[in-house]
Amino acid sequence: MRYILIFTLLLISFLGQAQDKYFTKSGFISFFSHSPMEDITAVNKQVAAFLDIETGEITFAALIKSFTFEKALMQEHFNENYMESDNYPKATFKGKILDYDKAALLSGQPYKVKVEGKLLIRGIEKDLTTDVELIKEGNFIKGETLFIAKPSDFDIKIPALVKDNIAKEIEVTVKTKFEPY
Amino acid sequence: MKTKRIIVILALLGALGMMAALYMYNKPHKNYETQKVDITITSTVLVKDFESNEQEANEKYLDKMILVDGQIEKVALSDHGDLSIALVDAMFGVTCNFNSQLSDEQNNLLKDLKVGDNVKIKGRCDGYLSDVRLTQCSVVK
Repeated sequence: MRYILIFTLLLISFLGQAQDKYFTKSGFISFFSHSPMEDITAVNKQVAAFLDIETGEITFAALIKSFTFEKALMQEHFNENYMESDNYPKATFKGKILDYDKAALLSGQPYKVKVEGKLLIRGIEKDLTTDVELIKEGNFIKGETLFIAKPSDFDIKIPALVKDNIAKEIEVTVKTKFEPY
Repeated sequence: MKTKRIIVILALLGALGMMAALYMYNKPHKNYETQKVDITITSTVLVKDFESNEQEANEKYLDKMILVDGQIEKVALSDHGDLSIALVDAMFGVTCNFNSQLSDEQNNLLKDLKVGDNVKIKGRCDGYLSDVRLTQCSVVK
């Protein structure tokens, strides 16, 4: 009986929060490395993300192995040598919209904000603040941002032989379409 | 005469090396539809393994070709046009992601599937978010 009560209470508290949460399982992250030698792009269309419209909190989680490259060899090097995806299978971001205004988010107009949080790649956490544009469209909330990540910040060692092929600053694009939880 | 021969041999070796490098550089992606299965498991057990110990499960399943069977909980088409099928639970189950370009055979097998059906799906295990993720999936008859 006690368990049923606890379960019911949990369920109520969960349901109570549910409509404040938006999520996606198919968010889009791509990165772009430009160098005089070559341009490299990788795409991941299976990113999980949550947006809490009560608090303005945003979290992202992406699996490293789900990034696809045009060249199989690059994908192999990315996983095995640079990201060590067997040891560090995911990258995450946990952050918050600064000066969050729920009414502005839900207005249906583009809502331009700064999101501040922590980016975790290869077990190394770095602060990240980025400009984000959010817009509510019907039942969905769309979000988009672009930021720079440095391989050196995450202790990614690029062999001397290919150091001219990989940019010191990688451009990361994020696009998500959140749906109500 | 001798030096000429050495030069010719060196040039040939160089050309071979270049060809090998070019081949490696342009190596095609694996065809996951014909890839052989490493582990056969039910979707509920796969989810439990990740839930109870993610690190151990990663060591066991990451990058492996997994054949799961389970009940379809949700079929979704992402806004990028990619199909995904969730087994056990839409949020905390196994999510099988399919490529946008599929063979005719796969399209035929997929078009009749609906929620509640039992299905066998093969895919590469990429890891665990709130759900176990299989990518490069194909339906197995």
